[in-house]
Amino acid sequence: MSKVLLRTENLKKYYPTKSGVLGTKTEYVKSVDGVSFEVKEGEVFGIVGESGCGKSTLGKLICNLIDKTDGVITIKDKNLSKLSKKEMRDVRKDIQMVFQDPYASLNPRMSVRDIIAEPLIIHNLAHGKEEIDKRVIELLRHVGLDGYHAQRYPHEFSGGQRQRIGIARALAVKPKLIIADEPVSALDVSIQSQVLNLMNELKNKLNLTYVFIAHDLSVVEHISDRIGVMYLGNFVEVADKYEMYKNPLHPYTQALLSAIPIPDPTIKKERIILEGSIPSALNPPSGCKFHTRCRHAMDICKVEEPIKKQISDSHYVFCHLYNDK
Amino acid sequence: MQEKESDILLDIKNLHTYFFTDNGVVKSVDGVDITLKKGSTLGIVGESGSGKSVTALSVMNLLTGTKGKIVEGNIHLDGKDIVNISEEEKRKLRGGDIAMIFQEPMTSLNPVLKIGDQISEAIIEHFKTSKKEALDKTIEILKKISIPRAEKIVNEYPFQLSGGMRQRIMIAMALVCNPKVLIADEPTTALDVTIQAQILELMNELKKIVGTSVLFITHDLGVIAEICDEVVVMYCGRVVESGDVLSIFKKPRHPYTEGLLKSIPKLGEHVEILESIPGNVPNPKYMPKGCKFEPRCSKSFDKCREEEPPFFTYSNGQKSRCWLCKKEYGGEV
Repeated sequence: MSKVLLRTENLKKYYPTKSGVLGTKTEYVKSVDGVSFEVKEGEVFGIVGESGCGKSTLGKLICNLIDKTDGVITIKDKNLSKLSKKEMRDVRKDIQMVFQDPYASLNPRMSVRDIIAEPLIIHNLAHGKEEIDKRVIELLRHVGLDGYHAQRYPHEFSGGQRQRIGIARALAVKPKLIIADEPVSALDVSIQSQVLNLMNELKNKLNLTYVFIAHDLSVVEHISDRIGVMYLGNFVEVADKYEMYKNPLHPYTQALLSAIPIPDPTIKKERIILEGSIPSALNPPSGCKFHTRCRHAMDICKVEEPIKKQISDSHYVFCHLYNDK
Repeated sequence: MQEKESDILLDIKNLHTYFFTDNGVVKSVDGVDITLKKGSTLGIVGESGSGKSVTALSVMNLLTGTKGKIVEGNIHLDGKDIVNISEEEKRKLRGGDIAMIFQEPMTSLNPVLKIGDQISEAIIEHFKTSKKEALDKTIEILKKISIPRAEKIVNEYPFQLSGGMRQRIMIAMALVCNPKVLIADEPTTALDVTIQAQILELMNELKKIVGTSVLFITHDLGVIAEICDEVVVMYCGRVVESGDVLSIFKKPRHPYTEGLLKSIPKLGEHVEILESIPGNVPNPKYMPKGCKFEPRCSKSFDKCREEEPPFFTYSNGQKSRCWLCKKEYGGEV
């Protein structure tokens, strides 16, 4: 059994919004609402869900880019909220993020060399111009670019190449865990597969652990070992990818799987069409948050939130259908 | 197979649409032939910059006011030329015989007009009806495509609706004048999968009820397989392969189509490494001389660098612009 690298317990992020006639009433958008999960060393954990389900907020929480409302995040058995500023800085080295939009996440006024050198300098990982240059070129080669690219600026690169630069920057501090938030969704299909292959290769070469966030289930299924499906701020089902595909238990997972168009015209599958759209996180349904769109909703679903039901070692689901009465 | 002349609804022949920018001419569409049969759905697939949207805009005559211009070629709708006609006739055509659905339903709807007013506008414009009649027809259309609370929704504004509902409104708006051709430019790309499934189902149903022919533009091969009868694959402003959907997915004849199909991860299929197409789409200002796909093609040879391949047609109607097909035929290359 490999060790647990990342663990969250009852993690919450509420965003306050003012409402009421005079803005006196404060309500909360419950973006992430009590998420507990673990990621083991060397594993790729995929998080999938529709827009507004809280998957990106969860990623940012783990990276400590935003403050949590409640809960615990531990990395390598270190509780992040109990660390001093200096200790936190060290831990940050272990967690890096790759962002969705390769156009917006690189500073257009910095050369590629400066972009990749910045984390090296901040964390004191390379000294002197020569050593930094050497390391930058090494990193560029890692991601399939060349040394001469270092002198160029982001606008001179295509989307796929920019995403490679973003990955090189994340790798600069030799992280253990990379949070990739929709890293390929802005790319064309042919480029998407190049970047996915690169991420796979780097994982094996550098012994990385990924939390891979995406809305595209086929992409997540391809790269992940385990997948968590999120709906309105919580996981509804977590399973290893084979299990998730073969034996999806939560009605939402089933609908999500069946909604994906299959690139094979000879397959005509029975589709579960969900009615309506994802409810507002400001005013989520009571009980099971999915009950308003669920085909199997029972009376209990409206009043009581389902608890975690362990199906097998690597498979658990939050649904009343599987709770023994 | 020779199609009967009368079966062809939209006929695009040798279309060249260029953009005259300050930095030179960009040949966005460079010799495209597409025929859309009556009652069928034709998918145009390609990556960003392949010219698929510009083809649609050319058909819609929506290039006025941009730097783009149709420099060569014709487009016929039901046998009638629709390129060299007066501005007045083009106005009648747009939203009348040809309607379009856009990718981003939020930016395509007017945020300060009520839904009902936006849909009725087209009816009043094309049928010269009274406001009241137009609104009745609007509600009727909304009901037809099973939009709940149709009577109430006509008095609401776009921001009050969800993304999927907005796209439905766009569809209703496109259908009010019973168009012969519906052009859908990435209509589901901005939507979540479960909502995409709803919209695709709606479009499939509409095909049956209304019988409109559809030109469906997308980059998603899954969506193509789901909804289209025929496919056109575009690369660098050209059609590189076309044919019926079953043949193309079963046996693509162009290395680009083959590469695209192989590079998408498929559900339930567990492979360590995805096959991918190396490199990037060439800069439109520095196009390769021969086959435009040659620099990224793993099967290229000398001939490909020298001369651009013509179309080779197979007995099942599949066409591919690749020198390898000539070899397959037993022809000398």
